[in-house]
Amino acid sequence: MSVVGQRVPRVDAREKVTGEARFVDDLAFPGMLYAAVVRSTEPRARILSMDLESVLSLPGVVAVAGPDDIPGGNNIPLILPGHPLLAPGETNFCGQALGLVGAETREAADLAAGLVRVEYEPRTPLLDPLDARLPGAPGLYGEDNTFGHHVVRRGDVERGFREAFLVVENTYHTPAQEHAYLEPQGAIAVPTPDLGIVVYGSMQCPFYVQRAIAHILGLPLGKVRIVQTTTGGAFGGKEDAPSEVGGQAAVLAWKTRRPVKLVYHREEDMHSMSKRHPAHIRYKTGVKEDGTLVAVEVQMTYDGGAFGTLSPVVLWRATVHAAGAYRCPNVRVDAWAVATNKEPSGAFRGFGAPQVLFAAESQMDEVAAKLGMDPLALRKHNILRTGDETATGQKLRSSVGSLQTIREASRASDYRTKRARWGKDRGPVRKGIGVSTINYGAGLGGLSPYLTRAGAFVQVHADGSALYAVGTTEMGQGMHTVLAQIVAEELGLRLDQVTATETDTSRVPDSGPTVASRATIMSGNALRDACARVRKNLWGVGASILGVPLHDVLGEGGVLYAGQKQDKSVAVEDVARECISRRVHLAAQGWFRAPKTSWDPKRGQGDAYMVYAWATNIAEVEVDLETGVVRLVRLTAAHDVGRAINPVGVEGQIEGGSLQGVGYALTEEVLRKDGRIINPDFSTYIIPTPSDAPEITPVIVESRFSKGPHGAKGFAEQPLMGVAPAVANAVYHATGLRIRELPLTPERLKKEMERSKR
Amino acid sequence: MRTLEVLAPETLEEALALKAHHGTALLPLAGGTDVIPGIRRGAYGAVALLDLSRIPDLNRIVDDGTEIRIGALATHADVVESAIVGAHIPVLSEACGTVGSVQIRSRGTIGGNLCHASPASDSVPALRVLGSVCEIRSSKGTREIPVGDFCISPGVTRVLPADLLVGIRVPKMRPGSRWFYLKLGQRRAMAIAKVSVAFLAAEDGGVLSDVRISLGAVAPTVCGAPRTAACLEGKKLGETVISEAVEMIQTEAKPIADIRSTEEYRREMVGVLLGRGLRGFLE
Repeated sequence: MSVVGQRVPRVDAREKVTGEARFVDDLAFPGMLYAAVVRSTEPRARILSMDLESVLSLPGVVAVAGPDDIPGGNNIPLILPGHPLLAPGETNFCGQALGLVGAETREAADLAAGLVRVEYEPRTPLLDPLDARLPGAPGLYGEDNTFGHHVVRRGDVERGFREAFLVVENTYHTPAQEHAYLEPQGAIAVPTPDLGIVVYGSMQCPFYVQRAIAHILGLPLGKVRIVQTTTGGAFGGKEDAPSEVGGQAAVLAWKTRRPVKLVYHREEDMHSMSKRHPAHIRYKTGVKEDGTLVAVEVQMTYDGGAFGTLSPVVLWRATVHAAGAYRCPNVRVDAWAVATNKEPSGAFRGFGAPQVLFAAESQMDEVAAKLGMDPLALRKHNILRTGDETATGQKLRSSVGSLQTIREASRASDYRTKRARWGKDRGPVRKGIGVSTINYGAGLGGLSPYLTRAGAFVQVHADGSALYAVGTTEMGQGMHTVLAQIVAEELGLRLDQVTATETDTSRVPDSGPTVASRATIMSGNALRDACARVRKNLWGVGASILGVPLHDVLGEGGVLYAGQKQDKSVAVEDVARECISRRVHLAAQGWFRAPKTSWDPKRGQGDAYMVYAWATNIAEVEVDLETGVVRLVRLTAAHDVGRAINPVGVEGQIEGGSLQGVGYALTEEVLRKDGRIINPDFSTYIIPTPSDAPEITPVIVESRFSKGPHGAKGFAEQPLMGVAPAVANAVYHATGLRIRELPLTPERLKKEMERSKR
Repeated sequence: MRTLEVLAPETLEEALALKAHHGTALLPLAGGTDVIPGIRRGAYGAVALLDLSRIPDLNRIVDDGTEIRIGALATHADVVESAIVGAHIPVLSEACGTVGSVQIRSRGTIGGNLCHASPASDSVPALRVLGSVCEIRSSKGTREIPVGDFCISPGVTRVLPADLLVGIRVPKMRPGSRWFYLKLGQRRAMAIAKVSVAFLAAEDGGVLSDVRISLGAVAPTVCGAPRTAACLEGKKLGETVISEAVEMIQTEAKPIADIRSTEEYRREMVGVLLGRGLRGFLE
């Protein structure tokens, strides 16, 4: 192996550092208009009138569009019906798009959008998700305001709790979290002379956008081409939302027959775009005297906001992960995602799991404390191992690095010494150390099996350099570096001989979304398939030049060798040239279908995911009892990734994801007044700065996945997921205070101190 | 494109003449860290900007013998890096060093910070305990207003339409002064104060005199805590005295709840910060 497994710099590092990378707002087309969106100022109201036409006379304004100007369906197609592109007659959250203005400049468009008069008849909004399913609640969706309901039924929880030595039951609350991607949402729609449209934009899932825009404009999919531009962060926030942004630009472009650029302002983006689902979780855990888990019962309500978007699938992942990374014979989970009059909740790194894992891992800590057991020992005792069955009845056959992450994190953090020494301080500043162990089902899983495929295209040029295309996207996570390494490895090239095209729906067939930590497995395997076809031809000609059979040819670093001894060799460049003169085909499509998964929705049983990644986080905190300030000093994060194709990239993902988890744990919280967000900017929505970052020690565990490319499995969401409970558990170790609501602000800690004194 | 008229005079006299003519329609621009976001937000209505950056010496920091004179356009970074400030009024260095980030400290100015009149300002509590005086010029002459009287309410000061704040005169601290500036924010950098306490007093044989306390982010403007200061006056510092002062300041401060914190938390923290600062003197 010459490239896979090496620590290589990102292939896109130079352009991003020098500023040459071109994001959507850097692009312009001749005759381009700028769009602005007229947005609702009411959480729930009937729209009596909207006077769009009145702004047409303003300088620079070219066109306006309301719901009636949408040529196809006024609906953003995803999973559930009923999510309009522009609100027709009633609005369901503050910030919902009502109409569009197109103008010669962005300023003219913004000014005009702000001057559109909208008359509302306010109605009582539904803001508390716990009210959504009560009788008499305002009707927002379907019969009972429910976007999704999932269950797990394993064993007999009643019997489990009867047999339990100890039962711990608590309620947990987690807030909405903002993605805080550096680049706000944006798209440019360009009508083509053949009555089609090309949409460029910042996005994760071009095929979703393609489907949405075809529907909105009433066009066949073949007339809609989507090109992903360099994307400045997404984290799930650009999974479904770009269908809306692109759809808005497309409606105006279609009406004016001119290119239209729409880039959201930060505040606009924070008011209207998806967030992590706030959650209310009731969690009951039963254990035997020796700590063996015997029953877990979870009831949880996820706040889906105004429209269904991805709530049913977010909730499904939450349901599958609800019992944590442990063996448990009796599990009962009931999960609901409900409608409220807030911006739609959606995908966010971890996809529903971080909320319930905060509860699950806090519970484990509390159980350990009540049993007088070490929390790490309790986890080791119950952790899922090879051959065990998960809560959904899935037998884990291989690639189970669970125990190894516990051991490695423990060693790297010197856990035992610190655990024994800390937690006994008397001064105002108390040290503590806390643990969480989690797993993450890689890929989309058993609820959406039809999406679990991906395509790829590879072409070798006359000079031996290779170009590839995939249907998944680079959004900053480092996908293209990993994929270029895989292509170089498969074809025997140097990394600098491999280049990717931008992701474009016309290059490869629908490859599903770039979500669920699936790009490495899916596109990596599709590329290996394509490369194998190209290699057969390329290396075949090489074999004839070298005078050896094909199976004796080895390739590495841009050179083909005749067998292991490497005494005869030829540069791939020369082989490619020979292929051209012999008219040999050096291009191929690849395809990959993920291993089979299954799901029985009635019992919530099945082989939910093809494989699981595993992680153990150990957090070291200092809690200032006088101020309530929690300082996360050090975080040790051990992740089983199957195989680190690029270890630097894995470490980067661990560090970045962990820091996002630190924000979720300590400071990030969307605040509202009467349904309206009151902290829609980064001076009031508090994400961690470099000064707030702990010292992060990433530990890579490699328990290879036989069906992943070179043993890799996806993991990039996982670093965020276990941080909050590890921090909360460390705070408990330091202070004896158990905080069951995120984030762990000083105000919350002080309040809990007051309460516990009484 | 949005157009914004910017006048950029080369001399102070020219600037004052423009201000006399245009009044509030001309918004002075120093570092722009508050003005530019404010314009984007539409907070100022239709205004032209008066760019002060070309006026020579408006950012100078000078030792005038008994006082330090700081030009209104001195940035927070200028103040932090100034040896003169560090030697004679270190409480101001300490406070300015907690402003925002490196970038904000390099742009934002001390004069701009005063004129923004935020209750959560970091420089104002320090300037206030130092007994600083604002130098205000108009084409008609010069006026002086103590920093403690300068801010009226958030964003509102005693600067009149034809005025410009040109500098701040800060009396040097006496040798052996006791001082601190302590701040609690929502994070460790880029943080606006939830609560801040500036303290300055003379000390002789452990006995405090001329005690001055300023509080940030607990009232509509940076305010004093005269009762608590009086309670410490002439006292020898010890645990009992400190506990009394802490208790007193927690009743004296009248904080509010807002987007950054709660009333209860702020009330308690005013005391915690004062107690921490005072106990620091005992070590």
